[in-house]
Amino acid sequence: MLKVENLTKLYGKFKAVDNISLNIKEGEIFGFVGPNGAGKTTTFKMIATLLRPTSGKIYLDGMEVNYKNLKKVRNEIGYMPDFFGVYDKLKVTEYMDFYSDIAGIYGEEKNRIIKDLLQLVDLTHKKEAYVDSLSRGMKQRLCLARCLIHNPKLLILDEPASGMDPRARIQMKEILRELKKMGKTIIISSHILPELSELCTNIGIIEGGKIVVNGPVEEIMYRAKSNNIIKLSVLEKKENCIKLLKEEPLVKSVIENGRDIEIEFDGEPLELSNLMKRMLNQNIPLISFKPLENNLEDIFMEVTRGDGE
Amino acid sequence: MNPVLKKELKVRTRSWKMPITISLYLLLLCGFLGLLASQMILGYRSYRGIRLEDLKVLYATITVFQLILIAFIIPATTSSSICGEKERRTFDLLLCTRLSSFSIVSGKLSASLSFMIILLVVSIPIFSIFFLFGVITPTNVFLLFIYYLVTALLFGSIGIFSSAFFRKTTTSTIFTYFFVLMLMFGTGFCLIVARTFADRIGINNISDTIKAIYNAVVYMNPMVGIGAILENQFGEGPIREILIDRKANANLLSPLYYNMGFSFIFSLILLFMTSLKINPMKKFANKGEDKKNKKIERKEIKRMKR
Repeated sequence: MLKVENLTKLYGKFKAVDNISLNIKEGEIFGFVGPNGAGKTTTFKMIATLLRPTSGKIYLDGMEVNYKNLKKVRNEIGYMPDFFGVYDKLKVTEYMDFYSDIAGIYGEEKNRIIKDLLQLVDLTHKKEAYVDSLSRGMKQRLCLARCLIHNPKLLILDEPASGMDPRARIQMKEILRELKKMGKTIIISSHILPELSELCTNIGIIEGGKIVVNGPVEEIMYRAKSNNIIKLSVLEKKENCIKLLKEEPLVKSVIENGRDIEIEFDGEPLELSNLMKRMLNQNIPLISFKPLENNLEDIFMEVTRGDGE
Repeated sequence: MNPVLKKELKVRTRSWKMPITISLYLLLLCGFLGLLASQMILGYRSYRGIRLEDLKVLYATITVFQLILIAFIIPATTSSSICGEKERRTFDLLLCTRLSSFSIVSGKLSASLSFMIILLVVSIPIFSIFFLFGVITPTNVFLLFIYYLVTALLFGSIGIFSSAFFRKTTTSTIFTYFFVLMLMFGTGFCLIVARTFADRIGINNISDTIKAIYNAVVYMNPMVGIGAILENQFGEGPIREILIDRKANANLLSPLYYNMGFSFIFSLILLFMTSLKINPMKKFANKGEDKKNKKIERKEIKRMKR
């Protein structure tokens, strides 16, 4: 569906996007994660035909994103920027009407689409309200409805839940789930990582304009788990236990944390199971032996240095 | 109908700005006319009536005054059209639609021009006063209004062009007014200076190229168009004196046609450049940035060679 090849964007000496490549399949939800200034918005803008890449190519459905195919590409893309404004003197329906006119949708079909979309984003009750009077969350939802007016195949959503209260975020998540069911391909960036890991099929972590991690969510989680932390507690013989653990070649570090011991284990699940057996054979009274759950936030913190800004 | 024009008209007619501007416009025109008329009538000592000669002066003054009003109103409405969208952060949403850059530009411009048409239409009753006294004919007014429209197109294109090139509305507005005033008064000043020198040297001693350049600058000035219309209406005027080597049997309206031709072509060029500038995928829009990148690239290559 979307193929990005060696995409680079320079602003003078500054490399905003540095040779990134992506391959997003149809129906996929791709989460783009990165610290502020990492190059997410620049990448999104280049895909959305709002910025000309310095080098590299973007293909949408096999069609190159360039000036020649501009109209065709824009027909297939729905872009929602991280910050956007609204026309203060327009009502919600008029706002949608304006973008329908641009999309070349008229008459009964237009009325039907606007009605359906306002229903999808739960704004039917606000259709006669002025856009400027809407809350931040409502404006975000309206912008999402605007993106969908021409029924694009690819949705580019840059921080769609930023600045929203928890209720509005949940509503937005529900809408995105609905869009996923509709089979839309979505590229989404967000700072709310747990939500992203729930929603996305694939994740790309970007830092300093470079993709540092890219792949299916489960694979990334598993990859991160290969360096996982095991928390164990013993009833007694804590010193013996620590000594034994330190002698183990696959145990990278041993940290005493109150009554518990945390170890960094670099091995396969079978080797972990053998370690537990050896401890039991040494008569160490284990009470618990549990790998710590890794989440996207941990992975993000692990792979990024946080110097994006 | 262009969606941008449709939306602009909807938004503009909803605010109080529009009726207030129309009222102010009419008030200014009527006030100016009233002031001039009262000055003339009060100036008569023995004659209690209206002199045709004075009405002609009154009409000429009011037409120039209307042109000056256009020169002040059109830049104000167009110079913020694109950078205003950028400042409101609505421009990206508009750009990533299937609407072409030219449609966005022409929609914005036609919205400003339609506002100008409203102002011109509401001023017709004021100009009709002159019909009553036989100063002008409806054809004269029609020609005058066509001229106003073409001149408004030129001023509007300058405004749209600068609003695409500058990020801030203030900078864009200042540039537009500077350009428009230079076109109206700057060229006029240059012509006066050039003519003074030409008269001193002797017109016959000047080369044909310089004469052609001089006349071309004359045709660029919007005031010349209005001058030609008035000269054609009253059979007398300054254009005859301003142009160099004008043939005795030349059409009195030809400076107007040249002026309108210049305004129209220059407007099209500006609109074309604006639509290139706002298109992010075009090389022209990224020219500065590309140049900078190439310079840096060359520097890097040189450094590596060393």
